[in-house]
Amino acid sequence: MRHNIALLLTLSFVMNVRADCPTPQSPAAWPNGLGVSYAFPANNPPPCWRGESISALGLTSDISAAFGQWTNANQSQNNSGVGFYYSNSGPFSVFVQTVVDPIGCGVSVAAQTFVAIYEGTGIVVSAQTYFYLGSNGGLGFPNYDPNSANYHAFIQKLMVHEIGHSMGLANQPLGAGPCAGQVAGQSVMNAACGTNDVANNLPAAMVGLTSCDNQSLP
Amino acid sequence: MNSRLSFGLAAGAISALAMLAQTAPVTLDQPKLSTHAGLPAHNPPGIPLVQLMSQSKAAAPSRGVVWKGLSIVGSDDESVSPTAPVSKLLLEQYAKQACRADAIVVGHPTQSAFHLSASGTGIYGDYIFSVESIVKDNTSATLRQTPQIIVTRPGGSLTLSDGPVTLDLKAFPKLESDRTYLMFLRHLPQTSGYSIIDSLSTLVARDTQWMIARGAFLDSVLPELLRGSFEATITTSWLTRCK
Repeated sequence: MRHNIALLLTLSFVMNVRADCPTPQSPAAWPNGLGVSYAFPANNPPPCWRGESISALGLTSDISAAFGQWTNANQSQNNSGVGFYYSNSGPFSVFVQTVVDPIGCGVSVAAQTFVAIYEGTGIVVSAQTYFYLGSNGGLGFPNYDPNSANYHAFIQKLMVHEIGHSMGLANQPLGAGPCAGQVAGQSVMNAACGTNDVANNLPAAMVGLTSCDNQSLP
Repeated sequence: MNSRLSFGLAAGAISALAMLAQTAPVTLDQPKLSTHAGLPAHNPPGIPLVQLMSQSKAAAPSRGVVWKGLSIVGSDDESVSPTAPVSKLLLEQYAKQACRADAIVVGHPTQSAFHLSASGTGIYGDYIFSVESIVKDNTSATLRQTPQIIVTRPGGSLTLSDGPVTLDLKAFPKLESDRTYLMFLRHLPQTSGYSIIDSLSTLVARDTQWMIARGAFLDSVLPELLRGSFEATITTSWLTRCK
């Protein structure tokens, strides 16, 4: 009887957990060994959004730390060799904007990355990440709380996730259960769980990449 | 008596004309549809596509790439809850969408046309959508006599001066003509078309199940989204409780 209960509990856990290791791959990435400059260009979005200054919001170091995290991992933990460095312009642009009209804009994500790929290849030519401050998640709660102590760490963790989209990593699948049944901290491609990722589902800032992520990189 | 008869005839003629207008074939070349270019959801923030194409084409030789155009993939990163399972929250959202929607229909697309958005930063598609069944009718413009409607949504492919470009939004996948969809729609009176409410508003049929079409939830199988049963929940439960 005790064995049966243990078996049932194990099965239940397996059915509720959706954590892929190695991390799922997407079909395109920056070419191995490439130096990629990132920039924070001026931002004049169409209606629905209000463009923000990354430096005025005090987010420069959070975002730069995320790029640094990837560069360190790519030089020492995996074979991609892709390095990121700050410049006035570059193929990787980061924008921060506040959602003025959440319903009209139809935005429900905290951030989003558009990766431009040469047609017919797996080669990324440019990427743009957008942070949508003031947005509510599609499941009904605010993505950000700028007044909480974990806000800046969240920006960094989220940026690490978004860079992952340009490095050939795909999102971890969403399963049943709280935090979508993912194993907290297992992958930078986990989903944020709660406002500011209060449940620490994404790996802690400055931890680097996880072994599941590094195994998936080219 | 005569005036009453005249009034009756006139009313009948107007009604017949209205019916005719509603059943007239729907086409994608109506000038009024260009209004869709300015919809907020069709104008993501970003670099104008013409500029992005030009820069990418110029950089192609240095990357050893033969230029064939650009594919732009937009990620779909939904946050999840630490306290409630995704399925519970999704059903709560669908109950709200049922009330917010002007119409909820089941059907399939038969034709599409893709365009550059007003800001030049996005691509959107107008689809002729063949309505197979109505889960919630539009009270301001009934769909009962309307076998086809226009549905507009972000994403798609077109050819610009520098070549072909595809905007593949994981949150708003392109509709396929051989698939059946259930959509929660918002009426656009200025064009008589419809837009989806948000990225959760499109469900796609897979055998006996409705699947959420957006990338983040594509693999999520919710028993509550069983075809037929889900529509019944909307009509007999959720719509009766709308405030």
